[in-house]
Amino acid sequence: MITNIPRIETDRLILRAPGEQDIEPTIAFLMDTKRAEGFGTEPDRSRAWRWFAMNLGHWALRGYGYFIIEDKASSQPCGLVGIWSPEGWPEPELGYAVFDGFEGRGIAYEAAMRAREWAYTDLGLTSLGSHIVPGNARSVALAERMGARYERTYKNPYMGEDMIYRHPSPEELGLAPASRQVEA
Amino acid sequence: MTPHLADTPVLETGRLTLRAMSSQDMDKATAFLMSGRSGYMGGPYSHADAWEHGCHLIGHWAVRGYGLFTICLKGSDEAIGEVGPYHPVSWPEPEFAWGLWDAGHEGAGYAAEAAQAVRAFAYRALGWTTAVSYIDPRNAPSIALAERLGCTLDKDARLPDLPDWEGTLVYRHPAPADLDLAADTAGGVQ
Repeated sequence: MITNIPRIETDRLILRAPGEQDIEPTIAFLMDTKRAEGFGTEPDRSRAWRWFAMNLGHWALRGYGYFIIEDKASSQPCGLVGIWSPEGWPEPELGYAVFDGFEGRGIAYEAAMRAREWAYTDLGLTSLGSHIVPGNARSVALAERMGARYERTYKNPYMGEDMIYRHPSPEELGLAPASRQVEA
Repeated sequence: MTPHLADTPVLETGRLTLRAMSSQDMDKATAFLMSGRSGYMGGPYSHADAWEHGCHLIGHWAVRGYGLFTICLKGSDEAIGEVGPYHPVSWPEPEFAWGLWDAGHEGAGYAAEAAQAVRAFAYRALGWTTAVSYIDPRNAPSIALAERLGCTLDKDARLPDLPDWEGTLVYRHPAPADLDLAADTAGGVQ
């Protein structure tokens, strides 16, 4: 019933619309207080399902949101990557997370690089940050590997103190926006 | 094309048009959720949380294929409330929910008219055979509406297993047969 969420491929991954089969893996991730700490945990199944539904609403409202990352080899959902800008965010964020059992393979990097390119070329965004809670060294390492640099800290309504790592601009990456652009 | 919700139904009653909640309703929906009027449904919410809640109501349509409708007075596209089938994962069974966003629209029978229409829709088009409404025991107008809709208190029904839900009343709606409503033979919406 929601249309036109793109499907994008990389060598090992598919970035696609969230579907029925992704509900339980997403809930399990969001309720994993250790693994989802930097992404934003949810305290119970009710709230975690609300987030899953909210992400689809976010796509409908904003024209973008979190893709499910699917591992081509196993056809399993293995993480979330996308552009996120709910109420209280100062600007659209490039976010990423990898589910239990899929870490340490460069999946987040591969997915986030592709999502960034999509946001710059297809959405026509001109600047992107990744918002990282202090202490999340893995996320900082990934942002830096993508060429992002610390810019400032702001207060996020859910995460509290949140550091913004600024990604290279489309020009710096040699990416030109496609003709299609999303409304601001 | 920008991703969007498509092919959602529109229901007409004598005085109302009911359509899927959408982006144009977010300002009024969040204002309601941030107000004291949402106190019997988990509110009042912060601005960020109200936005997330409204956003999840739109996403509910994508996840379930149905969801809350906004209530508009015929001839106007401005929503005055919400009504409809609602079934988040932690609900033990489907619910009919309702809320008028502004006290100025109470007392005219709009909520009853809207609830009857979405109930008929769920029984006919979604093939639902039963449903409940969860109501805070202090919410007298909502209890009166449930009774007006022919609902009866179901003391054996399970509640969502959530904090602070103890004492919530479960009103059971009349079955389709009691309302002379049969499911469409096609069964379900696409």
